[in-house]
Amino acid sequence: MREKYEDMNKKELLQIAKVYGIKDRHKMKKEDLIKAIKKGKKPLKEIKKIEENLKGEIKKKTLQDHLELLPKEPGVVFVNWQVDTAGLETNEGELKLVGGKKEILDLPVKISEGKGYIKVEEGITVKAAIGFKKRGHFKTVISSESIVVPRGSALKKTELKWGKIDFKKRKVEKKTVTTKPTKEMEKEKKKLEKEAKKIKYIRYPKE
Amino acid sequence: MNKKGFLSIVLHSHLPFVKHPEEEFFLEENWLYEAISESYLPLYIAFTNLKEKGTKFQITMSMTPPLVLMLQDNLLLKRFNRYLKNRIELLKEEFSSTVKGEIKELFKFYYDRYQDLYRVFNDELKGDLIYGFGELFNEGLLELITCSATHEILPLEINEKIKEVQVYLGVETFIKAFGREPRGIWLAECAYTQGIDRILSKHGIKFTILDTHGILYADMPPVYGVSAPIISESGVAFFGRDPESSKQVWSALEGYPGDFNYREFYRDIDYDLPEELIKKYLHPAGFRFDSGIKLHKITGKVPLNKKEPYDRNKAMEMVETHAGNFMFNRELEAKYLLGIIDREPIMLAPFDAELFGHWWFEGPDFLESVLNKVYNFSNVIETINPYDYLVKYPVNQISEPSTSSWGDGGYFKVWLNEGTDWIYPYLHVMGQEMITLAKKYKNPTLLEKRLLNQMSRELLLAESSDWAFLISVGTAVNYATNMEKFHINAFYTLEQELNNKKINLNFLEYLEEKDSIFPFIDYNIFK
Repeated sequence: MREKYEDMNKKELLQIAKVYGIKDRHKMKKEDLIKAIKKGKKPLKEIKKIEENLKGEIKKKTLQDHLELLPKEPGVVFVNWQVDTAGLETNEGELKLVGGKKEILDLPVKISEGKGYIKVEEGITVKAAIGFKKRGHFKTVISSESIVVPRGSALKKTELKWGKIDFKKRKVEKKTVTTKPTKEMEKEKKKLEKEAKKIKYIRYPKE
Repeated sequence: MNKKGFLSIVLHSHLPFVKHPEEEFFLEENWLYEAISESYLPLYIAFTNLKEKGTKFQITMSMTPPLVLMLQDNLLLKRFNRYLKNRIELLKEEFSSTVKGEIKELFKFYYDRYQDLYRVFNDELKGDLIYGFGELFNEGLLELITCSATHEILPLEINEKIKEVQVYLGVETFIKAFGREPRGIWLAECAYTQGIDRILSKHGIKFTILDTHGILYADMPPVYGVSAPIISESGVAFFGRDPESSKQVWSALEGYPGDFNYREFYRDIDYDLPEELIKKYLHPAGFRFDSGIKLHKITGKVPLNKKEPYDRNKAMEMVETHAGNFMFNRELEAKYLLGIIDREPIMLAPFDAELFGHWWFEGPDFLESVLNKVYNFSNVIETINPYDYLVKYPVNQISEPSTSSWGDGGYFKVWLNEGTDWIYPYLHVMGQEMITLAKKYKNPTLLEKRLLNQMSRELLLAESSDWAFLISVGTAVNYATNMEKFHINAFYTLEQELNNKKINLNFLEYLEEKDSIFPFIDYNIFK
C-alpha cells in the first residue's frame, strides 16, 4: 500500500530519492529528502496520460509460450496456444487431445498460434498437446493441464456412500446408512432438472 | 413442535472493485453507491427491524472481498455521503417546488427515505456497514460467508496456485473484516469443477452452494436430490439451489418482482429533470444517468411514458401478499418432500443481494416480511443457515459435484466465448509470471516489494469475472474492456520496470492509490 514518506526511515527515502535522481541526497536531512521527493513527482496530468495509454490495446502476443485448455459447456472445450517457433524445425504441427490414454483428436495446425472450440465427449478428462511428427513419432512442444469436460446430464450409477465431515481433521468419516433412493424422489429429481433449466440468469425482467 | 422443513435464503453481495481517484465524478463508481443506498442499507435495516422485534431468523449473506474493501475505502465512503447529500438536496428542492398531488408525496417519500439512510449510515453505523453486518453475524442471525478474492471463475483458472491464492485471500479478507474465519464460501457464479473442494478444505471452508445440476449430475446421483447437501471426499459440503424456491423471485414470468404495483426500475427522474438541476445535484457535466429516484410503478406492458405514479401503500400490500404466498408454497413443498425422504429437507434459495432493493425496490421489505411470517406464523418450516443444517444432519451422501455454474446455460459460456476468450491467455501467462517472480525475488528492496505487491493486485483485478460478464451481456462494454486491458497493461508495465530496474515511483503510487484492493497483500503468497 502507498506509504507516507514521513513514516519511512532515511534508508527507504534514499532509495526513492535515487529513483528520482536527486543529487546530494546522501547529504540531506530526512525533512529535506521528503521535500525533494515531493518536488520530484510528476504532475497528475502526466499520470492521466499514462492511464489512458494503459486502457489502449494490449500486445497481441503474450510474453511466454502457452497452451490453454478450458471447459466451456457440455461436450465443448476451448483450446488456445502461442509458441515461439524460432528454434523449431517446422511450424507445421498437430494439435492432439488425449482422454485418459486414448487419443481422441489429431488436427493439423500451425504450431505458432491458434485457437478454437472443440466438441469432445462429455464427462471425460482431457489434455491437449501441440507438437510435430519426427520420424513417425509425435514430439510434444507444449502441453496443457488436464481438465474435466462438463457433463450435461445425470449419471446412472447406483453406488451409495455416506459419511460425516470431521471439520477439525478436514476429513470424512465413512458411515453405514440404509437410506436408498425412492421412486418418488427419482421422479422429483427429473422435475427439479426441468424446473432448474427454466431459471435464466437475469437480474430483472428487462423492458 | 417439530418442523417439516427448513428454508435457507442465501444472498450473494458483490460488485467489482471500481475506484477512480483521478476523476471527481466517475459514473461507474455509482454502482457501489446505488447498491449501498438501495440494497445493502435497506437489507441491514430490514434485519435490524426483525432483531428489534425479537424475531428469530437465519439468513446467509456472502460478502466478496472487493465489496468488503470498497466498503472500507475512505475515498469511496466520502463520495457515497456526497451521493446521498446531493439526492437529499435535490429532493428537498423538488418537493418544495410547485409540484402537487401524488408526485409531491412521492418526492417527500424519497426525501424521508434518503434522510433515513443518511442517518442510519452516519449516526448508527458511523459509516461502517461491515461493522453493522458483523454485529448481526455475531448475534447468530446472519451467517456471513466469503468469496474468492476477485470473483474469479475458478474452473477457468489454469494455475492451481492462483486458484489457491483466490481462496486464501477470500478467507484472509473475511478474517480481517469480521474477526473470525468464514464457515462457508460463495464460489463466484457458483462455478465449480473437480478439485476445487480440496482447496476449499485446505483453507477451512465447510460448505458452499452450487446450482441444481451441480448436485443432480454429481458422480454418485444424490439420493435426496437438492433437499440435502452432498459431501466430497475432502470434507466440504455442497448445497444445491432449490429451483422451486428460486423461480418465484427470479423468474421474469412467474416472479413477484414483475407485479404491476411494484416500482418501475427503468423510469428514473433523471431523464425528466432540467439540465441545470442535473448539473447542480447529480453530475457537474450534466450527464444523465439513473439517480435512484423513480416515481412510477410498473403499471403493465406499456411504454415508459405511460407508467402511472407509484403507490407505496399498494406496493406494501403486495409485499405482504407475496411474502405470505412464498411461505405457503415453501410449506407445501416441505410437506411434500418430507413425505418422500426420511429427513427434514432444506430448501435453499440463493439470489444476488442487489436484486433486493436495487432491481426489486420492495425486495428488502419482502424478505423482512417472509422472515417475520416464518418465525411468527409457520408451524411447518423454519429458517436455517447451511452450517446449522450440517450440524443437525451431519451424515450425508459422499459424492463429487459436477462441473457447473449458475450462469445462463449452467456452465461457462457467459464468460468464455468469442467476445471474451482473448482474456484467458493473458491471465494464464501473467499468473505464471507472478509465480516465477515471487520465487525469484527473495530479498527485494522496499520499492521492488511495493511494485511486486502492486503487480499482484493488478493480476487479481484482471482475474475478476465481472469484466468478461459485462462484455458478454452488453452492459458497460467499453468500460469493462478498458478495465481488463488496463490491469493487464499495468501488470506488464510494472514487470518491465522491475526487469529494467527503472521504477517509476509516481506511477506506482498512482496505481497503489487507484487499485488499492488488498492493502495487506504480500506477493509471497504466490510462491
